[in-house]
Formats: sequence, C-alpha cells, structure tokens
Amino acid sequence: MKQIMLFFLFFLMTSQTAYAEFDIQYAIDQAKAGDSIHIPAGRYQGNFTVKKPIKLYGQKGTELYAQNDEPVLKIEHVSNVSIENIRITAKNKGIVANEADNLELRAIELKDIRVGIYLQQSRHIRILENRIIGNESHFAEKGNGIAIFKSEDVVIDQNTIEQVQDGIYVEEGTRIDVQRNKVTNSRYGTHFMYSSNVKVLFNTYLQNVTGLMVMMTTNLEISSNTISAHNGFNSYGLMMYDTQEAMVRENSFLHNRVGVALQKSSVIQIQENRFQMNQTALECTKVDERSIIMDNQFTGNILTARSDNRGLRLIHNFYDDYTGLDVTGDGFGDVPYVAVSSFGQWMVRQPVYQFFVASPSVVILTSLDQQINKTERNLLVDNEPKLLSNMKEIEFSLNILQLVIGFIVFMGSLWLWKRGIRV
Amino acid sequence: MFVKIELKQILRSRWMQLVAFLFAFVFVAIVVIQQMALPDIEGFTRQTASFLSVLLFLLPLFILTIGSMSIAGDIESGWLSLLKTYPMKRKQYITGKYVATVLAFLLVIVVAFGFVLTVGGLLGGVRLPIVLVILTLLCIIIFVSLGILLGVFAKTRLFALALSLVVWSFLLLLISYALMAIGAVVSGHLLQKLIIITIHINPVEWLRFGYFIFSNQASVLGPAFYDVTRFYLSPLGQVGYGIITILWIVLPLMLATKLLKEGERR
Repeated sequence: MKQIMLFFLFFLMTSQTAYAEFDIQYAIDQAKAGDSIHIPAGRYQGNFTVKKPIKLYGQKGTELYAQNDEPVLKIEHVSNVSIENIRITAKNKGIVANEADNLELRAIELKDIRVGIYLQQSRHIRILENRIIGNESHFAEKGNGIAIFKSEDVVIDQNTIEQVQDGIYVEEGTRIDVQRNKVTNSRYGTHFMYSSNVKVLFNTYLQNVTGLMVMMTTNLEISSNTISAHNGFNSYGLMMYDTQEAMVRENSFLHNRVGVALQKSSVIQIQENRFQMNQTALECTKVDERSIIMDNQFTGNILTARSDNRGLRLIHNFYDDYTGLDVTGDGFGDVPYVAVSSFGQWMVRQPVYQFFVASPSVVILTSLDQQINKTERNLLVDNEPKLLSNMKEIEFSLNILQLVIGFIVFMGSLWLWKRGIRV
Repeated sequence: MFVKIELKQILRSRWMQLVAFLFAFVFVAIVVIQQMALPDIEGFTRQTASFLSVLLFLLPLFILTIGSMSIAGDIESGWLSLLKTYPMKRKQYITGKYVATVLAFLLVIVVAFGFVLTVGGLLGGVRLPIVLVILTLLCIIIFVSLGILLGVFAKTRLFALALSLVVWSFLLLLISYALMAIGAVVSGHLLQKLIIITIHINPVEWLRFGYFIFSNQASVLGPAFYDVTRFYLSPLGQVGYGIITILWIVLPLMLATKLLKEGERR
C-alpha cells in the first residue's frame, strides 16, 4: 500500500492556529483506492469530500473547519473509508456520510457544532472513541451529536457527547449497537425511532432531559447502562413508546423523575435492574400482559410503580418498603407486595396531581392504601416479593468535625434552655 | 422583660420539653434508617421527603396548639388582665408573646438538629440541607403568628386546642383532599388553577412550594406548574415570595391585636 507522507520543515516553528498549506482535497483527489493520507498538524479551512476508499489520519493538532453552513467533511457513495484523529469545528454539520459502506470514524473531536456526525443510507459503520460537544443554545436550535438515518450494522462505541439535542439519534436503523458511550447535558441521551435489532449496552446517561427515548422500535436489548439524574419537568430515565420485544436488563436507574416509563408497549421484559431514589421508579400505561417486571431491586423510590389497569406483571422483585415476613424460608415474602396506591393511579390519569407528591396528605393516604390494598390481587401486585438484603450495614465511621459541631450545638442549646428556665 | 418571662414559662412547660425530645427522636430515626441505607444523593429523595413530611406534619401541630393555648391561657387565667395594669400596649403584648414563642421553638429545633448532627457524626456524617433548615425557620415564624391569632380568637385553652387541631387538619390534610376530590370532576387545567390559588392561601402549601423552589427541585411538582415555578425562580418572584411570607407573619399578628382590643372593648 502506497502511502502519501508529507512533512513541513517549518512545522515546529509555526503556531497551531496558523493556516496549514497542505492541500487536503488535492491529496484526496490524487490518492488511489486504499491509500492512507497523513494530514500534518495545522488548521485547514474548507469543505472536503471523500468519494474513494482511503484512510485519512490527522497528526496531533490537526483541525478542519468551515465558515459556511456546508459540512466540513462529506463522505459519499463509497466503501472502505477510515477517518481518524482529527478535530472538526463547524457552524452546522461536522461529518456527513451518504451511502457509505464500511466506514470507520475514530478519535475525532467535534466542537461547537450543531450536528456532529450525520449518516444516511449507510452500512457497516463504526463510530468509535469520538468526542462531540455542541453549543450553549436552546435544545430547539441544536442538532444531534450522532444522527443516523436508514442505515444498518452500525456500531457506536466509546463516544463522549455533551450539550447537543439528542446525543445519538437513530431513525429507521437496523442492527445498531450503542455501547460504552457517555451522553450528558443533552435533550435525549439516545433516541431511537422506527428502528429494529438495537443493542444499548454499558452506556452512561447523565443529566439529560431524558436518558433513553425509544419510539416505534422493535427488538431491543438495553443492558448494563447507568441512567441517572434526569429530573426535569418532563424527564424520564428510559421512555419507551409503542415499542415491542425489548429486554431491559441489569441497568441502574438512579435519581430520575421517572426511572422507566412504558407507554403502549408490548413484550417488554424488565429484569435485574436497580431502581434507586427515583421520584417514580416505574410508570406504565397500556402495557400488554406479556410484559414482565422481574428480579429488580426497588430502593428509596418515592413511588414504586403506577399503572393503568392493563398489563404489568411484577415477579420476584425486591422492595425496600415491603413489610412482610418469610416464615417458610424460601427467600420470598409470604404475603404479596402491593405497589398500587390511589395517588399513583390518579397521577397516571391526571398529571396535575403530581403537585401533591410526597405531601403530608398523600403520605397519610398512602399509609391507608397499604392497609386497604392488601386485598388487591391483580393490579401492581408481586405475589412473591424477594427478600434479599441489599441494604448496606450501618458503618460506625466517625465524622469528627460533624460530631464535635453537633455535640456543641446540642449541649449549647440544652444549656441555653436550662438558663432560659432560670431567668 | 416580658419576652424573658414568657420564654421562661414556655421553656418550663413539660409539653415543650416533650416536643424537643420528639423532634430529636424522629429526625434521628429518619437519618439512621434512610441515610445509612441509601447513597448520599442531592435532590428530592425519600429522605428529604420524609424530613419535609415530618416537619410539615408535626411542627405546625405543636406550634399552633402551644402558641394558641399560651395566649388563650393568659386570657382565661386572668394573667392578661393583670398585665393590663402595667403600661404595656396590646401590640407590645402580642409582639412579646410572638417573639418568646418563636425563640422557644427555635431552641427546640436547634436541640433536635444538634442531636441529629451528633448522631450523624457517629455514623460517618449526614447532610442537613440548608433549604430544609430555612424552611423550618419559616415554618416557625409563620405558624407562631397563626397560633397567636387562634389563641386570641379562642379565649379559652380548650377551645384554643380544638380550634388549632381543626385549623391544622384543614391546612395539612382536608384542603388537599378536597382539591384531589375536585380534580376527579373538573378538568386538569381548572385543578391546576385551584392548586395555584391554594399555594398562596395555605401556609403549609406555601412552605412546601418554597422548599421545592429554593432547593431547585421545582420539577417535582410536575410540568403543569412550570410557569408558576419559573416566575418564583426569577428575582421578581423571589421578592414576591418574601413579601407574601412577611404578610403571612404580619397579618395574623395585626388581626390578633385588633381582636384583642375589640374583645376588651366588649
């Protein structure tokens, strides 16, 4: 394989921000299929197009930028292209690939862009270890970090995405693997529409409006993700709408407004997940009876589950507010756990009721519910709640500063009290 | 001098000592059971919800009963008639009573929080959200004012106790249940408007709303309240919150003074 290697002797003498004189487009045009082009460090202005199977490597400090609204880099109607180690700055789109086959985008940094990577009608794509940072504008004015349309066999692995509309947006995609990415401060961490055969594994979604949004999609596996701190007015950890055949397994849903919301979905299996400290752990409407919630751990959630009258089977989950005993010693509670609460059901029907969440009146109502609903047999009932002990033991480690301050305040106030009585 | 005497009387009361014990016990129980079982996360968690519920449940109850019975007891026992022989205005009497009761409850809360911090220190450290502490202070200064008004209105200790319990149950429970019931027959839009009105005319909801606003947890209230929370998060809204809070303190005291004067005239 022939390689084009160009070096500039004055490279070390010049500033990184200076225009580089290497003509990237000329090098691309002159390259033969299979060639590797090494771009010397420097800033390159322009809109570059790749239409042949080449590899494009940037040296450390290579930056491409465009001052117009056209994409910085276009990859069109081509197979076997690899782009690596480049920084891209653009007003609009960074990289656009159209009808590409066997494309790899690796270690690319896209900054202050509207849309990072835009892909359509492409196959066998690898988007790896990129860093995409959007701008500070409102979500409505932002674009997506990685947007994929009508493509198949796409792997999106170990990317870091911040401040965009949707971190990863997939529409009409097939065989899409989203794994080990981190998406923060965006609208949706990952958003699937009309897609199938999707895997979402080992990702971290933090402080977005919604962590994972899945709509009109079939055949999903969502496993081992950490989805936390989605607490906006309309936030969800995972939201599935009109979704069929999904396995949601071994994820952690921490401190979200709603951990998982299912709407109009069927054959959903939610297994071995950890729901911790969410305002509502699980919210389901129009979920079919083949969907199951099994072997999950619910700890510290204000409301465990709310649902309409259909579907949602709870099986062998652990609930930290379960008060039953295991006299038989089989590891499961002897009386069913009833997650249904009047207030939770009202919230499903009339969202305005959310105002009263955890208010004193609702606390009393829920306590009454727990007594009255013990006879509930169908809605939100787990007949065999698991009794595992996942509570950490109380550690008697000392916080000396707090102990001293607390003791001084406590004793001081008692002294004041005593003195007040004597006055 | 009057404040000192009043403070001494309140602090001597066994009831007040029991209140301090109860608060310390309940708060420590919440801290130990929940904080040790759950990771330390900022935001609206079950622990903060429990703290908030206990505060809004117990503190107004004790303040209203103790505050109202204190002043009604003065009227009933003739202590107020004796005080009238001194050169003290009605306004001074009400203000003195108010300050003494506020100070007494502040001491109760300091005892409870001090105990929580001490036990928390033994368990590796606990966090007392500053907004929760401020909410406690606001709760005391608002409900002592209401308690004094109820005491002046009731005139006897028994009536003051009954009236306090009725008002407490209305503010804490019955208004909320009424709104929830109304919500079953009216549209969500209308219910939202009614709730917004209630926030302003019910001090319990006002304090609870304030907690969510100032702890940046307004989203807990749901998207239906986005506009009203956005307003109160703005500088103008925060000034508005301060003014309404002051009105909740001043108006009952003014009304109590007026009622006291009118009662004497009769």
